Amino acid sequence: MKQVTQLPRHMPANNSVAALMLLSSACVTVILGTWVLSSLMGMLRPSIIPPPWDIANAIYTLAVSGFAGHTLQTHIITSLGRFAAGFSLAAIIGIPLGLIMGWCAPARYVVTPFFEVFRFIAPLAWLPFAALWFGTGIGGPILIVFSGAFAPCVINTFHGTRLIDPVMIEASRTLGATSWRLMVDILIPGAFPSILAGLRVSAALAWQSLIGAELIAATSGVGYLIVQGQGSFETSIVLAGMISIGIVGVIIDALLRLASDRASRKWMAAEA
Amino acid sequence: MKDEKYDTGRASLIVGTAAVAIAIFFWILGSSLIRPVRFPSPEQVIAAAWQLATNGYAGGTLLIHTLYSMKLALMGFAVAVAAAIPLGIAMGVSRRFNAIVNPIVSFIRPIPPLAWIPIAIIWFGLGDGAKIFVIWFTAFVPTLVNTYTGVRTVDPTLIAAARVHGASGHKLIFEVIVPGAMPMIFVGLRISLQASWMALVAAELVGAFFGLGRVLMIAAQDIYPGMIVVAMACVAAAGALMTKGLIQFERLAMPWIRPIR
Amino acid sequence: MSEILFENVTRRFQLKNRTFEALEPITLKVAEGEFVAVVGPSGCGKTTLLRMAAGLDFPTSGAVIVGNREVTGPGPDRTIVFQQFALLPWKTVTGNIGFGLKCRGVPAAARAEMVAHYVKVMGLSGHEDSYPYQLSGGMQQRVAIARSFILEPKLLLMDEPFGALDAQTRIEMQEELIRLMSVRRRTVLFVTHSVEEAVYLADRVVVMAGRPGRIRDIVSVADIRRAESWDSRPIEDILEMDSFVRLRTKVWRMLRGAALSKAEGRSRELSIAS
Repeated sequence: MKQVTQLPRHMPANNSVAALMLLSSACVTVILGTWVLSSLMGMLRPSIIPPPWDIANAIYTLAVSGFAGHTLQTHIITSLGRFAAGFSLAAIIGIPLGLIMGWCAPARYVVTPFFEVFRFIAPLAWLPFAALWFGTGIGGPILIVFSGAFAPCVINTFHGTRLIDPVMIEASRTLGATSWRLMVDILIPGAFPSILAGLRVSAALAWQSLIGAELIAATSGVGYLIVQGQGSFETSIVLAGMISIGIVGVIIDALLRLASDRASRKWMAAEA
Repeated sequence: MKDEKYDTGRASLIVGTAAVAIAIFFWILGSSLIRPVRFPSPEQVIAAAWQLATNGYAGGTLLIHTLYSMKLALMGFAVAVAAAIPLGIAMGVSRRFNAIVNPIVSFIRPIPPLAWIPIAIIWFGLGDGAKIFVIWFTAFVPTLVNTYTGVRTVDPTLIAAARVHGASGHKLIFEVIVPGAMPMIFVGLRISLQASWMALVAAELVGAFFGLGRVLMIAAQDIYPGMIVVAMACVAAAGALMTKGLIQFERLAMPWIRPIR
Repeated sequence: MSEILFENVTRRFQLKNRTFEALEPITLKVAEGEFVAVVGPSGCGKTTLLRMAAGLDFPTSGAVIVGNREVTGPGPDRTIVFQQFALLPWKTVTGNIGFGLKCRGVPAAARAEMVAHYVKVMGLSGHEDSYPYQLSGGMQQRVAIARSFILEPKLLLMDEPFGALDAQTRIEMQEELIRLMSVRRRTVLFVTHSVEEAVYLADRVVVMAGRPGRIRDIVSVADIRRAESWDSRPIEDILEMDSFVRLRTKVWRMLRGAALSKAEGRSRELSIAS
């Protein structure tokens, strides 16, 4: 007779997840340790790869006394403001446009040729016109952000409408739904998960384009900050700025993902 | 939706062409009303295009600039992708390898590629080195992430079926997991291509001797709106061309996918 | 000498705050060359049993023994035919059928010959270079069956293989399976929802009950099958035969009883079971 065992045999032990996490932490520790040690031993040039405490110091200094005209927080808020403006504009125009394109074919035929042309223009290519039309005003970066965020909003919204089962529409029609009702109760909720996915992609592209624009043609904002840091060979400031940019990007994405998860839970039926 | 029966190719062509024609009409109208400095008229654009194509501008003709830019972008793209795909496969297949590499990737991922330009300049100076680094970097991350996701989301039933029939180890990876991950890998490639094209244009805007970015920059400095439009159009066209090329390659590489539309 | 032996096999899942007993201790012997069908309500664990025999899942306690060796992993001696076909989309028909042979290291020439033979046997001629997406459901399942058969497995495992096919194709495939079995006898463990299918195909029908999974009863079909030569008659005849109808009703009643007993208790179950 075979022995009776508790755990299924031949299967990976449940603590392998813990073991992997240990491996990850070990590697991170090794890398950090190497960094700290080589800095302490003077093997790294501080202007190329600054020691971790220099970076921490830079963050502190940036927050307290600032660099390139403003403190770190002010730079971040300025950038966020431009981001929010361009992103909201793209969403407010793009999402209804996508819905309309999905709803009636003539709208689709009209919009598509223009869309296909403008879509492939890299957002930063708008910089010359941004400078011509808005000078150094806030309009410039907003234009760039808009051009980056617009396309994914429209495309994802449009695809969201395509994913709606036409049978649902027919069924609702037979129950007496008007076009307006169909739009509000079926089209929008049905496309919602795609719309949110599109917003996440848009946000990432928008944030990227903004940083790019600020690198080249701005007088404030985090992009401007790191370019100034580079000009003055303040590597710690550049790295501190990059870290802030990354963190802000993560927070924006996390917030949108939270909203997206909430929405999918409510409207689970519209799973693509 | 309600107009499925109108979804004929001809209808879309007619309506689309009409819309574009109307837009061009308004463009001609509008450009005569707005100051020409801000908003070029079609004639200006065509004149600029002609000049760029024949006599050249900012150091070269249209062809030279476009090819130069495309070459740089594609080189960076190719090198990045050649590294990202094997790495992504390794990370997807081996949990241990993933545990080692993933923390580094997760830390680097959120930082927008263009934000690496200043540090690249500090590390590599103002020459082409910094540009190549940024382009390489930009193309690396999306392909890596998508390859990893593709590998991990291969249909487990397919893997079970393959194992049942005797596949294991290398065979399993190359005959089952990699082909299974290919659709997602190509998605990553498309994103990487567009991202590296964007990065190239950005890098050239900052400083270059040739390339479409340089044309844009000089045109902006010279306040030559017609040329700006031409350069933008070229950027868009080159980007579209490369993307369509990739899509064609995708179709050739994956003949087993049911063709859409 | 049994081909498969499930010896006091249980399967327990660890959930957040409790243990979920998917299978109560199950003991089942499948003889060599026997065709055993397993029917039962959804969630009764019949697929789990199949996967354990394949080596894709493992018992919490007890042992699964195939051909005298305990199962430690999947292998070409115990192939599965899946409901979703599970063909490799990036391989052609010949590529898919020959896949197991390739894994085994059979050289290309020998492989091509064997694959060509099975293409003919399974009626796939003319589709050798097609990709799965170009084939109908029935054809895809034929490829999946050919892929398994070509390996001459000791044990053929089938998990509702005809469940995704339309009714007519389903019947064709059932007849096809009988024909293939008559050419070469194999040990088969066949999981299905359809009582008719089970009775038509099997030597024995195992009726399972669910939550927790256990064997309710086993109905023997082999004697009647042999006595009335079912395998040489068209399916329409068999569906009408008294013996078939009686067996089918018997199994069906058992299944119903198993479902009812969950809600109503053992006394009701005893009076329904015949």
